[in-house]
Amino acid sequence: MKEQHDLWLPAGIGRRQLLLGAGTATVLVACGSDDSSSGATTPTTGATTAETTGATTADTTGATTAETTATTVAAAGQKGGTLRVGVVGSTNDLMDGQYIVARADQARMVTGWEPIANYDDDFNIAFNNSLAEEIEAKAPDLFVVRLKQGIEFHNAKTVGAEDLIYSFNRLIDPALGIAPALSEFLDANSFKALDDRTVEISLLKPSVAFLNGMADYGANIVPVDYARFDGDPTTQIGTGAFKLKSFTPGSESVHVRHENYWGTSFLDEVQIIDFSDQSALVNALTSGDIDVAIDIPYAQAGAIESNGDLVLLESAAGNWQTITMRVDVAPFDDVRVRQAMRLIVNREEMVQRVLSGHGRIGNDMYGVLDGSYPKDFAQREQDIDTAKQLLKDAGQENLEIELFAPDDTAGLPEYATAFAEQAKAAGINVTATVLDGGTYWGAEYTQRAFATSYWSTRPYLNQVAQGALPTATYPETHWPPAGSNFEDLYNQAIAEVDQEKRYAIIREMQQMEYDDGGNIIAYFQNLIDGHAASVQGAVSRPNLLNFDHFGRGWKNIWLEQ
Amino acid sequence: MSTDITIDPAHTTAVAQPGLLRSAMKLWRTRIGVALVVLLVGVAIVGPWVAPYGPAEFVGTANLRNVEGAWLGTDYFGQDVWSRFLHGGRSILFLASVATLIGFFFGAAIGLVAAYNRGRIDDALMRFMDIILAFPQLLLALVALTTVGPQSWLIIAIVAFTTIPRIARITRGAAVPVVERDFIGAAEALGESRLRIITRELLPNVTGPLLVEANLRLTYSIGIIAGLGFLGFATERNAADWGLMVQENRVALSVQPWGTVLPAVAIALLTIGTGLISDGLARTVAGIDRGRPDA
Repeated sequence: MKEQHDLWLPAGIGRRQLLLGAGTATVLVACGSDDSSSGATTPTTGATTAETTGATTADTTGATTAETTATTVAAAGQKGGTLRVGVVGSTNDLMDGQYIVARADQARMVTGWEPIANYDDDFNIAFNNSLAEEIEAKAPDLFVVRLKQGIEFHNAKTVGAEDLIYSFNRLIDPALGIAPALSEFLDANSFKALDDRTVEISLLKPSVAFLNGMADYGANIVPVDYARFDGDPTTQIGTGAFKLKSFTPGSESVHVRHENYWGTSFLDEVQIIDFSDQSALVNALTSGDIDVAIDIPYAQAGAIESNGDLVLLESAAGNWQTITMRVDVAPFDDVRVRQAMRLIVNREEMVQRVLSGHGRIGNDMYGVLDGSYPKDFAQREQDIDTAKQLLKDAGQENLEIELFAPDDTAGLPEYATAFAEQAKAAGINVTATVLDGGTYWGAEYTQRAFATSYWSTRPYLNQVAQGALPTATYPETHWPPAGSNFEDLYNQAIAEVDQEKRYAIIREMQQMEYDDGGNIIAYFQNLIDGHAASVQGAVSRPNLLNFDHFGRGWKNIWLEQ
Repeated sequence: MSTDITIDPAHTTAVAQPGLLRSAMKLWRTRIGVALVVLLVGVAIVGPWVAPYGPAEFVGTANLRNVEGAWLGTDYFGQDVWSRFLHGGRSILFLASVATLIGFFFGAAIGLVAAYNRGRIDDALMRFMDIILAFPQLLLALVALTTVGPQSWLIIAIVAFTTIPRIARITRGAAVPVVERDFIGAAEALGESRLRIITRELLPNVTGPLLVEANLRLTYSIGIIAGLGFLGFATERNAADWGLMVQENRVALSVQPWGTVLPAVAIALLTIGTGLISDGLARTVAGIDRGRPDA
């Protein structure tokens, strides 16, 4: 999850620092593409159409859907009760309406704060769980955000344009370092309040994917003068369904119902309790000390499933792990070697070995939840004979190489080890070398010819900006190769407002990566959580965050009395 | 242990050890210990040839108890638990045995030299042993392995190095009273070399305590090497190693216990076996239970 927040980090900041220190702010920018049908307002054919279509679509999709969902859940749910949520955390836990470091921070942030927009079940932009009423894209570099009317913060102040502007300025505040890269697209002069709940945003350069950024769970609205938790829970003001009552980092936080919440919620109180490791977390769930356990180890999923008092909530997510080959250094500067490596992988075996079956096979492509994902590309399968021939043609039939993995990321050492095993069939000797996380993500990160990495899901263009451009923050594969027009295509796509045309450009980019790229993406991982049978309201569906997006800030969750 | 004055080295060396072992085998604890050790050594030696799968061979979905063709299920990585168990004993037995033997050799040599020479050599050697003893064995191993990386030779070297002073002190303690005996003086009077006196006169008369200590050290070596494997310091990633197996599969203990329980039981039985042998030898040397063959 950590790198979900790296979008705005400058290239000079190491991934490790990023993982441990970057803020929410994947926010906005650079990329994404998923402004499709039910997605709000990105114009399909130009500014004029956009204004009309956008406003109408956003209004309808957002407001109507929200109302319907809330009614449905309200009819089914029972009011009252305290939900005890367990999550692995530490004394480094923090609370900030726009910034997280670890999963425990995620679970807490969504209780108190809400983003401007959100994704629906099809990964399109929606507003049913967010604060904007509509977002109108007047041009690729000009957006108008209109907030829902009458939404109140925890302190009863009505959310207004000044709060929206403050929230954006806080994201790009260099002193806070929440989303430093966002300043490439926004500065203090980018915002103009049109009325008390409408703000016009002028980007410093075009990005059709601005909407995707605003749908990130960290693109939250905080009140003017908001500051990070520093011991006083009354300062933690947001719009979420629950407001903070107490917080002790490394121990627990208690959140009570926001009585004037604009939506519907059921619980009286949510307790988020820290555990030092996942084993202790699962033990607490099985012994009934907590009602919900966030992020169950794959190895223990069976223990939850076989317990009649517990329910395993498994969601298909777009998180992916990859073996990265640097396309600019030997032996991987020869495309035949890269192609051979991709044919060595037995993907189904990888899912069974590394994920205990809790995932689905990949096809060396990312952005699986994006509407532009090339589902029709032929599924790549293990083909040892062809791999051997390619290696022979490249003069690498006796290749010996080290494949690096960090010890702080579950799955990556196993991925590397399994690949090394499978590579034996092709007659090459791959040695899986596991380094401690500090070393792995340090100065040598992105410099190793053959390594492993992991990413959360994001739209295709967004991901390209992160890892597949010469200017990428994390150029793990050093894609594109010299002489490629991949970057030109990216620049065309990011400025193309017509979705059909943009998808056509994206497909060309995807084809290049599919044929010649440096990623070996064998699988996508599922999100797995466990809960007591009495906990209701969480749905298994594709999601960005655990436990059905933490029950959308826990507001969808109720307890069977 | 002979206490007679003799100038016939062949006589002393001929009677001590076989008698001790034979006497020890009259005790049930020794017999049980030997049976356990023979069983597990047998598993370690023969296991790889009878294992149905290779140690790293993929069998099915990870952490499942019911997998066709894998009667004890799969481990954390989709490998056959039973096959991994059968492959996993060799490394721990090899490393522990070699480390103990090296420690035994150098420790006994230092203890005998110190006991025979006394004086400054004795002081110097024993103080040096005290310095080594001051280092916690496991901590020293962790520091070395973290610095250099998990290598077989390093594990052997560290375990042997930390075994030496313990053997040396026991040897010296047992040898000092023997050095004072008349038969040692007689050997010196006959002009025998120091090396011959130490190896032919002194050593055979401390064999009993040495064997007891060597067995005890072997028990500790097995424990330490298994512990290092459990802490992730196996010499090879995904190696079939009993200690490493416990560590790899413990997360899934409630789902698939065999991956953890089987190697843990094997390690426990192995250490219990060597411990029982040590105890039997110690009782025999000390004369405890003499006349009670069923003890």
